[in-house]
Amino acid sequence: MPPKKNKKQDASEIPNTSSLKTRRRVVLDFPASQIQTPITYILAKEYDIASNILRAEIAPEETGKLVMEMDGLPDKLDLAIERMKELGIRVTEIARKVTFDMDSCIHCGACISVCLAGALKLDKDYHLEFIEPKCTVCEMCVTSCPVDVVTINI
Amino acid sequence: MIDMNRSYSEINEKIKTGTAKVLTALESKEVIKEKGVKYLLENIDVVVCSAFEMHVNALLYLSFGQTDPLIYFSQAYINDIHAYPVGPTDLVLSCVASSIENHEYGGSHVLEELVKGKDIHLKGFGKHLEVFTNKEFETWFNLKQLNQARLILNQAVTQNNIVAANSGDKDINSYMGTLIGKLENSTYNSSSYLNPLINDPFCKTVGIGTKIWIAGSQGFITGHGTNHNPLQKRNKFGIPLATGTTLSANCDINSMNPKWVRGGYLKSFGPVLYIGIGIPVPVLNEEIAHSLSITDDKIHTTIVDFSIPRRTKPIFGQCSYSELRTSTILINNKPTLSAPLSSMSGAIEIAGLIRNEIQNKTFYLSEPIERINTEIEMKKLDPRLGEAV
Ligand code: SF4
Ligand code: SF4
Repeated sequence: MPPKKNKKQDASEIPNTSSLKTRRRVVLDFPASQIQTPITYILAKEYDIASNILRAEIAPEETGKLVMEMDGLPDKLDLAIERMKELGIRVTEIARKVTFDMDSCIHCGACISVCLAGALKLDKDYHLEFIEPKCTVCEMCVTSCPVDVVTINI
Repeated sequence: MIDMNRSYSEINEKIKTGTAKVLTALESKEVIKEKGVKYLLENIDVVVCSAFEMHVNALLYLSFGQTDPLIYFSQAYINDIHAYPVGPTDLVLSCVASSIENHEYGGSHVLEELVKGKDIHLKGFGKHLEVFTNKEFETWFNLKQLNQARLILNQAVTQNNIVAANSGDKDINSYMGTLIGKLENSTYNSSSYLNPLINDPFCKTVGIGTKIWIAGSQGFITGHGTNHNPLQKRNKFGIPLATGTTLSANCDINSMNPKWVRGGYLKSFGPVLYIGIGIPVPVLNEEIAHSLSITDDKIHTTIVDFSIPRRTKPIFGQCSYSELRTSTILINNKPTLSAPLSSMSGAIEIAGLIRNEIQNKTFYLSEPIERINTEIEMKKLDPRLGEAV
């Protein structure tokens, strides 16, 4: 469902969100040589990234696959992904976005209160407006909506 | 003093003949801004005030028919939510009670589904009595199969509310939404300049017996409600600086419009109800016309620190709704995001619907039979151990 009023924003209006934590979902393909690397420990210790493993597979020939969420600051996430690539791990980011079911939205504003990136606001008629280019997909709005109309799409 | 007075019966007579002049609160503010209070007083009969806010303190009263053999419910579950028996086949269901299967599903969602005409599950157990021998009963029912279905809103209308913020380090999930630590955000929950009790701050027109529109159903104000605190400190425009007067009301569920009844859930708080309400305020005299001229810059509220879970919480001072609605307020000199929790677009739409109903002669005003008590002090509950005295 497309948001009701999603005006085009030019890049100059996008605020600096580098100081806000964000979440990225990645698929990591480990070569056999890297299967022992304590990757979540390195992420936490060196990049201040909290990881949440969603799926783990170890193939018979001892390559591995991890699907996980990484929560951290945007530049730290970039550095961490760089580091993993250097180690020979293939990193594939899964694109995600939040979707607002505007037909069921009651325009209460609860989601606006947790959107520190400034991607949500009320227009002059007090209708919710989603400024998608500003969205960091932090997912805060998903659980804040009292009538459950915000979903996360992968 | 302009010698201009209207009575309820004169206004109802005008509604009957289709000559009543009715505005929504939003329209009335524009008219006052352009043409002044005097114009409103002389030309307008009714101003419709409304709100689409979050509610707790709400109860469904459901009267079922008798079963065969007869049952006197001792325990009952409606869509897996515990309902309380009040007599053989009457049940009350709290809108904030949760399902035993899913704590995010509550009585408010049952109300929403009832109004939509959906099937609702009932399972009950009977007392072991001589006349009432049915021990166990299970069925599906919908709104049409009930003898009576009423909604009791014990805080149907609220005059103002606080602003919540959090100076602590950790985020707090509260009835005022998610409050991010270190004063990152703040929330407020009032339809402010559209709200009936902001437009009639001393209950000069709204009283016991006043007709109230509740999600499309016509109900009545029954008295003051939960959290009623009329002695709350007020600003110079008569507006309390936190919750002041509240009103209770009840109505039939049958004629409700599902658009204005929504079950909700707040993390770390439980089920809540969003329900649209509206009260037409009659422009009886100059004093009322003046109180109807209130705007957001004249409505102030108190910013409260939720980081301390005590009855008396630290406050950060006051701000106006004009400031709140800019999306940023200053708390301890820090710019803090401010966001509403109640739907202004919903309130505006509701006022328009009620205005149309009045113009279509399907909604008349009722004169209160008694005034709301605005002198009572709000009580506290303190522990006391030992014997009764
Ligand atoms: S919290 Fe949900 S219902 Fe409220 S404005 Fe946001 S998306 Fe709409
Ligand atoms: S996910 Fe939601 S809260 Fe987070 S930035 Fe995007 S819109 Fe804002």
